[in-house]
Amino acid sequence: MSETITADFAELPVRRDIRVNRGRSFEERFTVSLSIEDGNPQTIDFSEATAYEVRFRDSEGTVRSFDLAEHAAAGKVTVRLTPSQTTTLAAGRQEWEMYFEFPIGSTDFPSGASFSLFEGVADVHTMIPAE
Amino acid sequence: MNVPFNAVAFNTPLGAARLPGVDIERLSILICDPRHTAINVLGRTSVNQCIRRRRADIDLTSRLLATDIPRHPTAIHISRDELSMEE
Repeated sequence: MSETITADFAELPVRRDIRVNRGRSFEERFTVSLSIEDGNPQTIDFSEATAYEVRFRDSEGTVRSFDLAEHAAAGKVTVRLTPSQTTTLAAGRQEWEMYFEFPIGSTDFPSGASFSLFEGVADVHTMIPAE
Repeated sequence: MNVPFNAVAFNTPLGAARLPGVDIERLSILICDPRHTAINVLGRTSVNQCIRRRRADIDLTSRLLATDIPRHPTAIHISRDELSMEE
């Protein structure tokens, strides 16, 4: 059963801590919608986004960014990191965020928008190798 | 009175206010209050241009307000579709 988080758009990003194992793939999928006042939620058309990425910043201040694997209509966003991508992340606690930009004139953000949907701590872990 | 180069004020001395070759309907800024006396100097055509421009500005403002107001998002709903997956 999926969990649903409801937040004030003006108070984004939503806090979310994740764990990433280096050398292993990582994937999360979300469906995101907006409701105006008390109206029915309507899914965001993420295909109109011009920037859609996850960013990691390690303790040295080094930033690594990866485009989302999916940013589609009907509110669909997917972050999918390959084993080779997670290997590039330094082990330890990092800051991470999921960032979007929408252009002026887009369906859901006529005035344009740039926002982070999530932010939090990414615990980047190195797995114990087999003997 | 200082008048921006792309504006015309019809209640200023008209000899100075009217810029040669200016298309009134294409001005980006228009300080426009056509008075009866302006017709004597500018002519009926220019005054009609000015009146149409003012109406266009009002229509544009109304359309902008109409498109902007209903689209203010207030809440965002995030459903997690799948658990994180590892190979």
